[in-house]
Amino acid sequence: MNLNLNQSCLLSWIIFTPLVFALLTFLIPGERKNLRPWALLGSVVNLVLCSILYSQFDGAEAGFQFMEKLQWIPALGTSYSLGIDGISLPLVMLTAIIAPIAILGTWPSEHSETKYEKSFVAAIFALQTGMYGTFLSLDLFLFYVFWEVVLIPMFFLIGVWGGQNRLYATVKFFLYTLVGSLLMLIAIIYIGMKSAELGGAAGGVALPTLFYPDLLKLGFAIDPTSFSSILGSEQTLLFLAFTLAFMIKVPAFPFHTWLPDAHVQAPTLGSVFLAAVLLKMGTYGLMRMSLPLFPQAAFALSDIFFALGVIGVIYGAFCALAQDDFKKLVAYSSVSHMGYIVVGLFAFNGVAFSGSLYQMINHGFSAAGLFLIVGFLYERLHTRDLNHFGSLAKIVPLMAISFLIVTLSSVALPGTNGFIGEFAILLGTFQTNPTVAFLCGLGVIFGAVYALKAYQMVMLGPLTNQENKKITDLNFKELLAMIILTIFIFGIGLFPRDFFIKSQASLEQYATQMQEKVAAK
Amino acid sequence: MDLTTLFPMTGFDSNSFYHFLPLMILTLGAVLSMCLAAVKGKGATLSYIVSLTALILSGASLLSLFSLETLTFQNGMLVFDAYTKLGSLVLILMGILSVMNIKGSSHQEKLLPEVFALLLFSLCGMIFFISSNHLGFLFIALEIMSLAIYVMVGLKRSSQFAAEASLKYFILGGVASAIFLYGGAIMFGATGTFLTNEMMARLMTLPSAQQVLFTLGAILFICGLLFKVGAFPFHFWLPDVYQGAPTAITGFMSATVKFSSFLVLVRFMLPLSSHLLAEGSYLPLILSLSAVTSMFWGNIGALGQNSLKRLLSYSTIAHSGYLLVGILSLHKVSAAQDAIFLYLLFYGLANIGTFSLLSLLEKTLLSSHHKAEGSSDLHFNQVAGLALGRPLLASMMTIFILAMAGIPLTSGFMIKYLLFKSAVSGGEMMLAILAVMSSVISVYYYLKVLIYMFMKEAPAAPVAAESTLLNPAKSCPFAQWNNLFTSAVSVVITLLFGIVPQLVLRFLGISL
Repeated sequence: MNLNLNQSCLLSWIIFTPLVFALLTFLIPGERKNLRPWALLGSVVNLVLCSILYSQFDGAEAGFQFMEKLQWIPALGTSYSLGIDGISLPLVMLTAIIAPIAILGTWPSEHSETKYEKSFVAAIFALQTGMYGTFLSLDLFLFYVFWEVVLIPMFFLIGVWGGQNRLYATVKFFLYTLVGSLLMLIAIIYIGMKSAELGGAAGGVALPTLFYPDLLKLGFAIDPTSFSSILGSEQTLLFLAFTLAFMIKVPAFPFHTWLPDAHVQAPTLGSVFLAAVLLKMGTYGLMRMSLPLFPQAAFALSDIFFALGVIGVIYGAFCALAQDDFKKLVAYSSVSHMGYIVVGLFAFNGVAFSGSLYQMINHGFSAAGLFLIVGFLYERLHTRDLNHFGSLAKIVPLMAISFLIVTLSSVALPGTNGFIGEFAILLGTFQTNPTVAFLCGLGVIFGAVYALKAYQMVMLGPLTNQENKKITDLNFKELLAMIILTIFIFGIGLFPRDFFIKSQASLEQYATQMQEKVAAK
Repeated sequence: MDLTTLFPMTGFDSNSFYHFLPLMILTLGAVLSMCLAAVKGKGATLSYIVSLTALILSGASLLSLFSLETLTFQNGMLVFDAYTKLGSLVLILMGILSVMNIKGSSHQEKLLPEVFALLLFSLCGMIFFISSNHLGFLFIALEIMSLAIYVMVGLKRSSQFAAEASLKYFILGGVASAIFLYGGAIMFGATGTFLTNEMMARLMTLPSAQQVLFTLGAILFICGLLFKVGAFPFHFWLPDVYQGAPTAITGFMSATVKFSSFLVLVRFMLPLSSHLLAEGSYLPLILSLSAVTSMFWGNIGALGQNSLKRLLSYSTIAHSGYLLVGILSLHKVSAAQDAIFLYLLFYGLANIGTFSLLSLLEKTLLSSHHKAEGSSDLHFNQVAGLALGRPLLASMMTIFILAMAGIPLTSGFMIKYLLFKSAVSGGEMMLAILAVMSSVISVYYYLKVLIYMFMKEAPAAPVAAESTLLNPAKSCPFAQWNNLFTSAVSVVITLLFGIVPQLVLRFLGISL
C-alpha cells in the first residue's frame, strides 16, 4: 500500500495541542476562580486546526489521509501511526465543535461555585487529547493507550467535581470500562502475535504488526459449520473481546448501567463530553475495529447484536419515560439513541452504515444540547426533579425555544438532524431485517413520548414552584452555544449531503469491502 | 604483587578480580560503615556517606564490566553473564535509592545506624544469589541476604510491631530456607551434581524413579523461593512483616528480595524447563494454582485493608501471581525471561518510590499521638485531601498507583503488556485472562487511594500536625529531600519506560 505520509504532522498537532494547553494551565500564576476563557481559547485553537484539516481533507479519496507513522516498539509491532478517513473525520470535527460549545454553555456565573479551577480546565484539555487520539490512531496499541487515557481525566471530572454520589459513580464508570478494555488488550496481544505468524505464512516477513491497514488484510480463522463452531472460532473470540469493550462504552444493553450514574453525578461539562463524544468512542470502535477486522464473526452473530440494539432502543426509552430526574431521563435517552447505531452497524448495509455514522454525529449534537439545558436549569434552580419545574416557557422563552429545537432533533423530526440518521438506519435495516426495523421504528415513537413529556413537564403545565418565577433567561454565552447547536441541527437536517460530502467515498468503500468480506466466506 | 598470593584460589586471575571488584567494594563498604556506625553522634551520617559511596563505586565498576566476556568462575559456582551483570546493576540502583530513602526516615523511625551496613550485606547476598548456579552456594547467598533483612525488619526497636514482624519473618524464613536446602539436597541426591545448569544433561540418563525424586526436590526448592516472593500459599507472613517493618525498609525488601528471588527462579527453571514444565509434570499445575490463588488472594485481600502499607503488601502478593504466569511460559517463549526481568525492575522501582512517599507522608501527616502508640501506619483517612495540601506528592503517588494498576503511559502498563504477551504466546491464554480479571479487582483499591487523596476532604487534624503538613520543612529540613529524590527518580523512570520504552530498552541492552 502506498503510504500517504504527511509532513505537516497536522494530526499530531490536533492531538497534542490540548495537552500542551493542559500543562500550560498549571503555569498560570495564582488561584483563579474562572479559567474558562483559557479553556475556550484552547478549544478554539483546536477548532481552527480541525477546520484546516477539514478544508485540506480530500473527499474523493476513500483511504487514510494525513498519515503519520513512527516506530514505537518495533519488537512488538507497535507504532505511533495516525491517519484520518471519511469515517473519523466527522467525529474529529464533532469533538472540535462540541468543546467550545460545552465550555460556553457551562460558563460559571458570579454566583456559581468553582473549585480547583486549574485542575478542572486541565482535565478538560487532557480529555480532549484522549478523544482526538482515539479517533485518529491507526495502530491498535496506540488506540488502546488513548482509549485508556480518556478514562483518567473523566475519572477525576466525575469524582472531584461531581454531585452527591460522585465517588460511587466514578468508580463504577472506571471499572466497567476497564473490564471490557482489558479483555480487548488480551485480544490485541493475541493479534500482534498472530500477525507475525500469518505474515510469515503468507511469505512476508514474520514481524508482528498492529498497524491497522496491515491488519485489515489479515483473515482470522473462523469455522462456519455450526453455531457452536462459530462461537469457538478464533475470529469470534477476538471479535467478542473487542466488541465487549465497545458495547460497554456505547453503552448497549445490558452493560448500560454505569451511564445513568455517571451522567447524573458528572458536572454538566463532563456530561456533555461524555454524551457527545465519549459514547461515540464505543460505536466508532465497533465501526472501525470490530466489524472490519472480524467481519464474518460479526455477520454471523449479527442477530444477537440486533437484539441487544433493539432492547437498548426500547428499554432505554421506557426507562427514560419512568424517570423523575431530568438528567437521568436524558441519560437513558442516550442509551436508546445509541441502540440505533448498534442496530445500524450490524445491518451490514451501505445505507445503514452511513446512517450509523450520521447518527453518531447527530446524537452528539442533540445529547449535548439536552445536557446543556439540564445544566442551565440546574444552575438556576439547583434541582433536576422534573416535578419541580413547570410553566417555564413564559419566564424563559429563549431557553424554551432552544430546548424545543433540541427536543425535536432528539425525537428525529424531519428537517432536523436526528431524522437523517435514524431514517437512514431504519431504511438500511429494513432491507436486511424488516422485523428489527419495525421494532426500532416503535422506539422512535416511544422516544417522542418521553422527550415531549420532559418538555411538557419543564416548560408547559401549571406553575407549581413559585421560585421558578425568579429565574433568568439564557445569557449571551449560553445563547451563543445554543445557536451554534441550532445551526448544526437544522443545517444537517436540511442539507445532509453537504455536511457529510467528505465522508461519502470512505463510506462507500467501507460498505463494499464489508459486503465483499461477508460474501466471500 | 601477584594476585594469586592475595587470593590463593585456583583460576583467580585479573579478569576474575575485575568481576569480583563490585562485590568487594560493597563488602568493604559494609564493614567500614558498620565500624563508623559506632562513632558517637555522627555515626548515622558517616555510615550513610560511606555506604552511598560504596554503592556508587560498585555500580561504576560494574558498568565497566559490561564490555567483558561472560566469566564462569569455579565451574559455574558463580557466573557473571550479561543477565547477572544487569541484574546486579539494577540491585545496586535499588540499593542507592533505598539508602537515600532510609536516610530520609532514619531519624524519625529511630533506626540504628547499622542499617546501612546491613543493607550492603544483604545486597551482596543478593548479587551472589543471582550469580550462582551452585545449589550450596545459592543457599549461602540466600542466608546472607535473608539474615541481614531479618535484622533490618526489626531495627526499629521502640516498636513492638517491628519486633513481631522480625521474629515472624525470621522463624518462617528459617523454615523456608530449610525447605530450600532440603530440596537442593534431594536434587543433588538424584543427579549427583550441585550445578543447576548441568542437571538437565544428567537427568536424561537417569531412570524415571530418580527423575521423580528430582522433581520432588525441585518442587521443594521452588517452594523455598516462593516463600521469599510471597506467593500463595507461602504468603501469610507478608502483610504482617511489610506492615511491621520501617516503611523505607519495606520498600527496599519488597523490591529487591522479590527481584533476586524471581531471577534465581528463572535461572534455575530455564535450563530445566523442558523437564519441569513439560506436559504431565506436576509443577505447571502447582505453579498455575499458586499463580491464580496469589492473584486473587492478594487482590481480594487488599480490598478490605485500611492501612496503605498493608494494602500495598497484599498487592505485592498479587504481582507475584502475575509473575508466576510469566514463569510458566518460560519454556515456550524466549522473551518471557526479559519480560519477567523488566516487570521486576519497573515494579520494584515503582514500589520503592511508593514506599518512599509513604515514609515521607508518615513523617509529616502522622500526629505525635500516633507515634506515641508506636504505630507508624498511614491509613486511608490520613491521606484524605492530600492533593490540596501537597499536590506534588499526590501527583507522584498518582503516577505510582496508576503504574501499579497498569494504566497506559506508565511503566506498569508496558510490563504487564510484555508479561501477558509472553503468557499468550506461550499458550497460557486462560491464565492471562484470569490475571487480567484479577487486575480489574486491583484497580478498585488502587482507585480508592486516588479517591482519598483527591476527592475526600482532609481530616480535621490537630493544630500541631496541621502546621507540619503545610510547612514540613520546619520539622525535618533535609530529610525530605532524600525521600523526594528517590520518588522523583522512580517517577521519571516509570514515565520514561511507559512513554518511550524503546529508549530504555536500548539503554538496558534488551532487544526483546
